[in-house]
Amino acid sequence: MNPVPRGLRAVALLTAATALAACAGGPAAPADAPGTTVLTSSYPLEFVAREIAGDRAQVSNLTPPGADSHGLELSPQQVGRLGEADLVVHLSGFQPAVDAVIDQQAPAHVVDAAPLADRPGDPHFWLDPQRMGALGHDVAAELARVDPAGAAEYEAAAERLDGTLTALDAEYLLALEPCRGATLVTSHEAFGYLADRYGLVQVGIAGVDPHVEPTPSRVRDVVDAVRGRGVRTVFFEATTSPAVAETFADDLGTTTAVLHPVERVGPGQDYPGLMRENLAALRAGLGCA
Amino acid sequence: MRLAPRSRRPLTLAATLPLALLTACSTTPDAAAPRESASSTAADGAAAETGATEAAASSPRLAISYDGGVQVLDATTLEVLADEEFEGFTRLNPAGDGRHFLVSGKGGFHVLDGGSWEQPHGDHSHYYTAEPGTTGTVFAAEEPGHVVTHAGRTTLFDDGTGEVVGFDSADLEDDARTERTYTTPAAHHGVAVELANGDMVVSEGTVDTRTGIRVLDARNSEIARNDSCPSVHGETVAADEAVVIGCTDGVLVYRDGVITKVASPDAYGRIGNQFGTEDSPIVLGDYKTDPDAEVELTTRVSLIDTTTAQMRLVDLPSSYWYRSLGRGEHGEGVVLGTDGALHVIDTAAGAVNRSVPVIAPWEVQEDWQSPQPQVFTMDGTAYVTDPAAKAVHAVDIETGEVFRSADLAVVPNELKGVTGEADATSTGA
Repeated sequence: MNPVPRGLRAVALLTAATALAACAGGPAAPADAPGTTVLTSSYPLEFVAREIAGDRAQVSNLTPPGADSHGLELSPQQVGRLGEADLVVHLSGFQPAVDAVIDQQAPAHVVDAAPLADRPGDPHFWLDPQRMGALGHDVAAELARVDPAGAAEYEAAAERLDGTLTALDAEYLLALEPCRGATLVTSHEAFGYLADRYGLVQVGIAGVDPHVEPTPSRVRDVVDAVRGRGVRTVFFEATTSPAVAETFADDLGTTTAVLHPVERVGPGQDYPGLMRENLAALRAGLGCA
Repeated sequence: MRLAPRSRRPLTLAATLPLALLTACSTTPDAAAPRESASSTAADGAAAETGATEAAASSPRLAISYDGGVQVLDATTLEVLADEEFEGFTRLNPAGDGRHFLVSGKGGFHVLDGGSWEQPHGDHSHYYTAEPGTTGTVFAAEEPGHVVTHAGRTTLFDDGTGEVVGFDSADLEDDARTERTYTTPAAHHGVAVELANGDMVVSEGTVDTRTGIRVLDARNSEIARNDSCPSVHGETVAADEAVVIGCTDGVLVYRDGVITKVASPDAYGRIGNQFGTEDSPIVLGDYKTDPDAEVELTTRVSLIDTTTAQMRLVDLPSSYWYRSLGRGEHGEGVVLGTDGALHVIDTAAGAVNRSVPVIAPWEVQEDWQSPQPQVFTMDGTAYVTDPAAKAVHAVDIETGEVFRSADLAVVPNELKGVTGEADATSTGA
């Protein structure tokens, strides 16, 4: 198995070349241009950056709305934006294409969220609201270095965000307290930080697509994984097709429900909203009510 | 064996026109319709550049050859995803990387992308799908023969020249791959398998007489040989890297550096097609006792225990042919009989556990190249083709349930599959 798809490698080479050209070419972005610019690499980071930036700084996201942030490939224009932004907020180890560019041309100011993602191989730290609050403070501190005049505003915004997220965390704690120790069965092991924070035990069931009726062999693997754990619900990242839902009902006696990884959002969705939808799904699915 | 110049389709074309390409080469209007529309791929800005779409789980694929081409199916839904033209009789093999097939045809081994792969990422993986199709890569061969994949290595044998080429399965599509080459003293219909430590077991013989095997070290120096394997044919690898090679009077087992002959109970007891798994020390083989028969309606299979060098025979309720055998995920042996039933064998007990009706009774034909029912086993499922009814069936080996069936627009001949997963063995070695 080739670890890097061919297309990705090709683009990585291209971006590297473009990055070099960008370095050698134009002058550095004017530091005193009106409005501080912040570039983030994925939606959860964008959410935090916008909350902190308020009206003082312009935030944009490298990953187009709804697109796969993990497999992001960068256009030459995007590489240019990485070089021009006053502050880049990213998660190293999660988006190889972004890492490659930042390695080539380190931006003047960077916040790397990697220390917040301390579960090996699991980037989804944002599913623990506390960690998002911590990121808010990191972003505020770095923005204050870029734009010292705004330091107080940024810090105040970080405090506000922290308050909001602490309240969300409290909602989770209260709602999930009755089902501490419950098994959280997910089709994609993206909920480790959430499970750790709220005392759930995550069990991943690889190999089941929410839209494709699984083979009997794969269903047996799931049965083996969840047997004896009192599981009522299997969580998928998307709504399961009726055939898949029926298979789980018949063979496991469980329902299926959606747990959103909040890695990307659709129109009208945002981090707090999806987190609350997830909480409602967890309460119902784990029987904590 | 040199790599022929490749003529890869431009990626942008592949991303935007798969529907049109499929339609263009379909033999009937309804033969091939991709499950996910091309527009859903293009809508995802990040994925459109490579034509890849992320999937929630691995998506195994089947390849089915027919007179004029090869179709690629989704192995879970049995939907036809692609149809590629190939001239003449072709043979199919998984390429060893969990994603590609090698199609033995005119000019050599042609790479066919099953369009499904895994990208391991720390403690989890991401799965992708794309339109299946030929990649343009061809391993040139005069008479492309056996393809053996084991321990992350793919080994090709050219029957026309005796040339053996081995490489890391993951480097299949990499022009800069390092190739190990070796040429047998005489060309013959042969086979070679490379082990994790670089040892290579290679058949020995001429066009007229095949006599045995030799074992070479990683530098192609001979470290063992055995000349008492008349008409050597076929290979498989069982648990603990025990290699089993078929003869007309038994098998040779190469294990822990030693070659052991396991004799058949009959003076002429031919084993030419063996099926092993990495989890089971027991190998399932075919078994024939009539050296003169054009078509021998054998009703026995052989079980070779590679740990004890013992062979026993199991009587089946019906006859079969050598391409209707396979293995379950718990080591079961499966044989599709001419009675149309899939016979599931407990290989430890040496007994038939269950016989499941799958297709109508059929007859073994004299011409092995003409379409006959075939079996391919993958992830606990036995896939069965039925040329007479132009259909393919998926059977759950553990329960015997025929859980999915599909009609085909073509008469299926060869049947093979890939898991869409990065094979654990291909990264370990």
